[in-house]
Amino acid sequence: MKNSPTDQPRFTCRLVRGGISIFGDTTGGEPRGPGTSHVATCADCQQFFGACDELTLALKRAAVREWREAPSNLEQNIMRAVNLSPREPAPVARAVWMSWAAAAACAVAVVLVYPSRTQTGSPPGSGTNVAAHVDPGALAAVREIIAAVPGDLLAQMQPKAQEILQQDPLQNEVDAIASDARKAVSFLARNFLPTPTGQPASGE
Amino acid sequence: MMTLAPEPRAAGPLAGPSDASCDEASLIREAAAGDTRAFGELVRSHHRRVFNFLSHLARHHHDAEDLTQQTFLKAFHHLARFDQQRPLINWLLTIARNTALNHFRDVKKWEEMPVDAASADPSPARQTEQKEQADNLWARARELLSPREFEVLWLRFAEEMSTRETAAVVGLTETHVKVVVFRARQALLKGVKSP
Repeated sequence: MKNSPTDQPRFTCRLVRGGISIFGDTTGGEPRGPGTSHVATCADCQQFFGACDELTLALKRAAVREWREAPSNLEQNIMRAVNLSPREPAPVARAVWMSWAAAAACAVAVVLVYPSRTQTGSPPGSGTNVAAHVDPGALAAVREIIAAVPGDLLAQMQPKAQEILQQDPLQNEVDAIASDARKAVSFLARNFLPTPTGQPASGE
Repeated sequence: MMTLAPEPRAAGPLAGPSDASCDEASLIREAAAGDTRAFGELVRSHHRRVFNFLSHLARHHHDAEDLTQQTFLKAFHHLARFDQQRPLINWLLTIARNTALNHFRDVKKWEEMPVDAASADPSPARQTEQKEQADNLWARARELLSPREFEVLWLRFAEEMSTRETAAVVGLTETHVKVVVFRARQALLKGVKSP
């Protein structure tokens, strides 16, 4: 199975080489994948994959020789730049802050809702008298969490929430739909609802 | 100039130290929380490899130095976004590559970049070095291949990254990486046979 005198690989050989290289596996020893039966009988393809293996090995060895040593002061320069650059607020901090707010909201719900439920006279043994089973230590911890939350937490959040709502395109869309709906209802009411004289106002 | 890396190597010929990998996760967590000392440890482990990668992409020593600095600065600011399922070095090389591409936004400019200014020095040592470089496969690869083919080949065989890892760094599909490697190897085989 020799190639033509022009030294160009035959179409089948090109196809198989590409097929195995792209859809098969050429790492380590025998090439695996579509067309391996052709390779087994084609000396040129065997030679091609052998040359590929040699080239890969040579590239790996050359890479070690081509190692370029970093300047001795590079590490210090990097750290100097890092220390001088202003640190952006980490998104983790916001997540912690929000989780504290969520915990506080849950705690408020527990403290306010359960005692009021127990005072409304649920039948004993119905399972709703949860506060009776709450560990006093846990309750104290919840109260401590609530006390630790800054008093102006909601005030801090409110302007941001309003800002987000103002810029929110979904909210704008909802407002537009609501406005259209109001106009449609108004139109229907004006034209089809009976007037005080008992006649629908469709003649307008 | 062509000295070997002093640090021990793990996976590939240019892989970083393996004994540090177990501590790396905790260092990343601390650095992401703003601990510069922990980040300094990460810089110490990886800056040589990032510099080596960039100096092959950028050619100029000073460019590679600046780009390495920028890479680590970006890494420090975005470490909280780092997916710890990936090796840190792959993420750093991704940042390094993108930083280099932004720096040399025009590919033509990249291709036309002259070699280091020091190459004009006609000293015998420099001439020997130039001859060694001419004999080197990677120098030949740089001449024969496109920048994309070169960087893919470098990541696959010099950094010994898998096809998947290479694809993640250069932003291609795995199949596309295999196609680029196939073409690059063909071109290089042909070029090495007929210099």
